[in-house]
Amino acid sequence: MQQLETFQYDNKIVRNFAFATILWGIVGMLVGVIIATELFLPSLSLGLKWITFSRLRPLHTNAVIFAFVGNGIFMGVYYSLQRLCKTRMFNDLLSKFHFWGWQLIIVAAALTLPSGFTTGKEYAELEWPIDIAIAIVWVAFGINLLGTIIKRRERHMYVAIWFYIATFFTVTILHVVNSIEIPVSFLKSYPIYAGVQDALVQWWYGHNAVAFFLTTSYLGLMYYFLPKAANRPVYSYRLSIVHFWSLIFIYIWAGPHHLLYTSLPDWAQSLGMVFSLMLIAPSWGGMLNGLLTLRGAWDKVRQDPILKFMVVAVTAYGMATLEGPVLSIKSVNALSHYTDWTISHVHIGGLGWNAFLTFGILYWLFPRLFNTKLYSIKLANFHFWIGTIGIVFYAVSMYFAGITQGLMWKEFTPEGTLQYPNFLETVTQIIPMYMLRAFGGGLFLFGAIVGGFNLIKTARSGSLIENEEAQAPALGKETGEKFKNVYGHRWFESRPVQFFIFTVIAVAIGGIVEFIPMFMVKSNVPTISSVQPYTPLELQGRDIYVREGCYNCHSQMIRPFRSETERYGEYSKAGEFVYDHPFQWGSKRLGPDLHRIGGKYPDAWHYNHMKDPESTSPGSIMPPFPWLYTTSIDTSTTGTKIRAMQKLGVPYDDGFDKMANQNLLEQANGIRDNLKTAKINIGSDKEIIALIAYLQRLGTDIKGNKTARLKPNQNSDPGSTLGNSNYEGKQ
Amino acid sequence: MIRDLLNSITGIEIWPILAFFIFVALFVSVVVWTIRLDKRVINRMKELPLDSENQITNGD
Repeated sequence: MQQLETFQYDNKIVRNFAFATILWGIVGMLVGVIIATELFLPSLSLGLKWITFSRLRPLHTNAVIFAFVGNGIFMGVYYSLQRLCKTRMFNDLLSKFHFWGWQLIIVAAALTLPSGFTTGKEYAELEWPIDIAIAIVWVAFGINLLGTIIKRRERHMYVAIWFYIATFFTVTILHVVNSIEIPVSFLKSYPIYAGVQDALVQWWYGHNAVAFFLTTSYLGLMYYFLPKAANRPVYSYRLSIVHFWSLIFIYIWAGPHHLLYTSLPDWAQSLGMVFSLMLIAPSWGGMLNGLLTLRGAWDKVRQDPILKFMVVAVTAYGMATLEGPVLSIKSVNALSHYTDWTISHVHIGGLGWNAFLTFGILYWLFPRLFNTKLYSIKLANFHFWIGTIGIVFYAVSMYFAGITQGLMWKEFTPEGTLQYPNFLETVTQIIPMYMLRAFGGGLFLFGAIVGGFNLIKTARSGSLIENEEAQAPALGKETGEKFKNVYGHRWFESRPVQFFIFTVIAVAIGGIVEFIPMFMVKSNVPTISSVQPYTPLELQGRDIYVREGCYNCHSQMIRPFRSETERYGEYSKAGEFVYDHPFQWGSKRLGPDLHRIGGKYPDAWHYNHMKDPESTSPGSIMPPFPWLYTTSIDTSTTGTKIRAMQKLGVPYDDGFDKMANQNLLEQANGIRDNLKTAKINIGSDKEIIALIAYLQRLGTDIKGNKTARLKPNQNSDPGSTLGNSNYEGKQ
Repeated sequence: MIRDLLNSITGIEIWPILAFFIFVALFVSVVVWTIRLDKRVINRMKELPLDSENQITNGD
């Protein structure tokens, strides 16, 4: 036997991330409950722009994903990695940099998002300087992770570590590729992609952020902490190997299931659907592996709140990963998309899988970090039950709301007209469900606060073992090589660099396939000659639309169903979005689709609607936007924005940037005069004027020009034939 | 129809089929690998999280 080396585990960094997890978890959930309440009590926003639903919703999603779960990942990784590698973290300074860097990014997000600084791309809303900071801090984490693995004293890399490696690599690629943007000012940028291409990149990112940020990292934690809590090894290590490779290979392909029935090419949609269905296999393999780890220990589950949390977490993982593929079936998606069904689905994953596993780990970890006992097992049990009831309230109400609204949208009278032509009817119908949802979320939040109290009390009753001493033999060349027949997976497990490379290949294959349509689409989107770039005023209006987060509630993508073309008008064409940096298709309809809103109502209607939504739409749950009537359009940016758009290939004439503001003023005066005829007096320099200009432009390019011609090389594509749709889709 | 957008790319329809076969090949090789793994290796790997409990460890 080799000589033992003595070293110390860094517990302080684990404690820091653990406290951050608790803090940001409560903050993120609180914001969630606030926005859930605003949906049935719009006046709660008090007319304040910073706490309006559409600005707070990105804060909620970013806080729970990147602040709560993010810190949870780092807490679990820093604890388990040191022990699995039998070494201290690679570099203490990097650990500290990682911790404080990540917290600063969260604070920056909490300041910028409510202030309206956003890229307008879901779960990637943070603006370019913060994007760069994220990349730097994330890579610091990666260096620390890989450095620790390389200096390990245990030859074999346990399955949890593989999941960490896959998480690090894939999230890096996702973040970088999706964040390529041209800055136009310190906190404003345009993505280099437009329209369909931007949508593909965004949902390749969005889907895989769920896959590789919220799932693979937490699967790694499950494979470490579940056996620890149950004090028995994982049910089948072989199954975990199959789970890992098939999961990371398949996950990356499934992104297009977020874009079913949109203007995305059909074959890419089918590819997304098939791979989503295949995902059931590895996901359920992993879930069963987790649950079966508890075989013979179910008596413990009855008494131990930690195991209770973990069992519900793994079960919720199983439910969410069955439901996800089901929602990817096109005919199911036709009903579920844009409704609260999706919201329910993600909260089964978020509240059940991520939050409950986090709570289980926290309760397991604190007594060990602080060398004491849990302050109150009773309170932990209370937390478990109130959290579980909260999830039930949340999920059931949202399923009910989603399916009800989805069916109402599609309901026709025997005469063939829409049963509920007024969108608002389908909203007011489900308001009681929104109340139940907020109640469920409130219970869950209360449970989290009780949990935080319990954990802080636990910490106070003990003292932190900052540096925990351990011993292990150094990793000699032949240490532990007792087994012959070194082949197959065995070879990988002791070679982190090669392992990393193979992980990269597995993930990259799917990524490349996803990118092929992305690049092909760019050269294959049929150009519709009547689709013109936005005027300077419309461009400014569009940026206001993005700033206020309108996409959080309104889609701009009419699917080719009779129920949608009847309600909204002609279905959306890929060629209509070629100048949209970023695309604003949205993913949820809390209000109606806006792609053909242009010209539907007079300017005065929009003016009144945005000032007091109930004046034009009684019962509306849209918040008012009073600041648009007092704030002036920032015309100092017009020229820069036009130049940025030119760089991105938008065909404005040379030198147009210099005349842009004059053009802007002329159009604004026109709208002002138009409003005057409706006895509304407002200066032409106000932001509402720009927003009206943008809304009135939306979807109109192809309306009055049904004879619009395609460019010669595209005329074989029947998809761009304009005119009324005769495609009715599956109803 | 917009759904036929990319059909002008030669041979694109084979793409999903190809993707499926790549996956099946990968899946089968991983399964074969794991079945052929030495039982002792498996048991050793399984125990890794458990032998790193808050205690002084002595390796193999």
